[in-house]
Amino acid sequence: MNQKLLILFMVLATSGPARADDDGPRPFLDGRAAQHAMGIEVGGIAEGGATEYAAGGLMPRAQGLVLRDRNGITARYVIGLVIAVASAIAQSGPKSVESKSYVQGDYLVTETTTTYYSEAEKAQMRAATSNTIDGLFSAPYSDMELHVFSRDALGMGNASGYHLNFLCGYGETLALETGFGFGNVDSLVDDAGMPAHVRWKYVGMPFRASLAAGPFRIALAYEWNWLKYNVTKDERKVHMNSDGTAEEVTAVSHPWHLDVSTILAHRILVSGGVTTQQIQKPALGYFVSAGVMF
Amino acid sequence: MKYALLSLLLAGVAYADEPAPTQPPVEQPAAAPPLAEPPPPARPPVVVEPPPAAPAPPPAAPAPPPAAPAPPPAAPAPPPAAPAPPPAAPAPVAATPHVDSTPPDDYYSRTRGVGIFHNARLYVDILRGMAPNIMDGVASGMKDSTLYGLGFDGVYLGLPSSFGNFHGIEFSGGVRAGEPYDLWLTVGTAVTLLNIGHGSAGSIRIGGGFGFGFDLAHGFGYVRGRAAVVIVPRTLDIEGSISWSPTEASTGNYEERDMRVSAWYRPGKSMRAYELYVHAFRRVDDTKEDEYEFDGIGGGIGTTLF
Repeated sequence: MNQKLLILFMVLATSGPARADDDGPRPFLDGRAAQHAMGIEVGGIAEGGATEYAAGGLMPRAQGLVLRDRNGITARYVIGLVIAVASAIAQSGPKSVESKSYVQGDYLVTETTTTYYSEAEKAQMRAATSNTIDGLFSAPYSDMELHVFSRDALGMGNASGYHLNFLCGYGETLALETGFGFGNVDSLVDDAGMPAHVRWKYVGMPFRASLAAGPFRIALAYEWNWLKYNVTKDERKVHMNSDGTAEEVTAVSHPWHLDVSTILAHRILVSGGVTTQQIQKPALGYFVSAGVMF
Repeated sequence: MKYALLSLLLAGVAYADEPAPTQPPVEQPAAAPPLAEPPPPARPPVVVEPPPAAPAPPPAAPAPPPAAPAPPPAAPAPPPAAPAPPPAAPAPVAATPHVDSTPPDDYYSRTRGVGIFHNARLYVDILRGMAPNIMDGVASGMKDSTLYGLGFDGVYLGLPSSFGNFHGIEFSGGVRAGEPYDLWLTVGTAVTLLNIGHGSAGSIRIGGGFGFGFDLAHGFGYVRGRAAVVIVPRTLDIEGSISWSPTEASTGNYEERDMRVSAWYRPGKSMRAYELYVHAFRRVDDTKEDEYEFDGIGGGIGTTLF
């Protein structure tokens, strides 16, 4: 065991990312690198308490892997692809559709006028799309963050599924990022002896403000979950499922995350923070993660 | 001691690119043997091949023999100011033990992510395996099936990370004839996790990628692992890779796994190499027997591009 620790220490100590820059030696705890460095993190994550995956007083423990491409290319090309496809669909679709109905003799006549984009307008849209995508690739910040949970294979949690966000953004001292994300986590928890499924689904937009403050990076994020609006009140309460074998409840929220992170020893990204489903009556969940940056 | 050697080897991760680590930190021409100095963990090749270390420090005592070849070895040092830098530069070049006997060319670059030396490949293959026997839309047992494929893979590791590795983008596409007929397209982020060496024998690159794509069965996300090693410098390298798309990342209920072991041989001095590989492909539906399921093995040949 000690030999493994020794190897790990020597690898970390001698792999030379610190020599890359000419702006002096990097500190042992580096918030600036956590904010500005480009790299891919592979690590583990654990969450608990009243996270976004909790509902009806049932609080799953979620444990799994984290894969993050910080300031890399993944979020840029994914968001760029989405923008390009959306633009292409918009260009080929109608600009406006108007219908009017009136009675003419014994008939009800409906006239529909469909207007399409002109070639000049399409060219303008293409140029705007191109500029937007160029902007994505020149933006100083981007983030692809994937959490994968498995109650069977990874850790000792009771959640299975994934949570994925793509963000891109600008800013100097304060970085502002947004993008889109989606996820699907199913947790199987014990509710007074009865198995209960806590289901969480997410399609929406994350917003994040972050800054490097000394040895740490501080980030406040908000996830606008569009699927929240489709969940009925009954589904938000713990109820028996249709075949009566287990309880189920749907977790819905637009959660807030406040986290503090740093890069330790030039290589290990460590972060931890709290989650609340709402600001007004906060019940806190927590999350911690650690990973190696490559 | 072996841990120290290991750590020195792994220190190679830090270097940005290209064969020669670009640190000429030797102030005194060649006084100390290179392994003696711990501060610059700069030369993984030195550890890889100890034999050349012996001829390395000629200027130590046997000053008389290398009279002509060596540049003025710092003995005539009366004017220490100006002449000092010039001898410092050539001396390490002569003294640095080079791992390969052949002169370096442009064949190695850390930006190339297919195997060790290559950017992209075009290949044809044959897979032999089992597929559900679908009759009138209903599966009735399994049957033998042969697939003929044509595909293209490309990996470009053009983005140096802040942590000494190279990442980039990868792409794959192709068609497969037979039952099930298929075509696929994937795009993803290519990753280097560990790089040791600069193209000499034993140089290793471990990495992979992750991304998304689609084929006729489903849309999917995938992760891929790759490990490649040089067998004969600038001539023969091999790579093993596995890509996996779990059911959870499938728009259908498919789990897909693709394993491949490739060897590339470069016959001449051009950039072109030829590939021979074995291949196993498996796609199963978690919930039912489906027309797109297949489980088989095979092999193929390919050529590198670019």
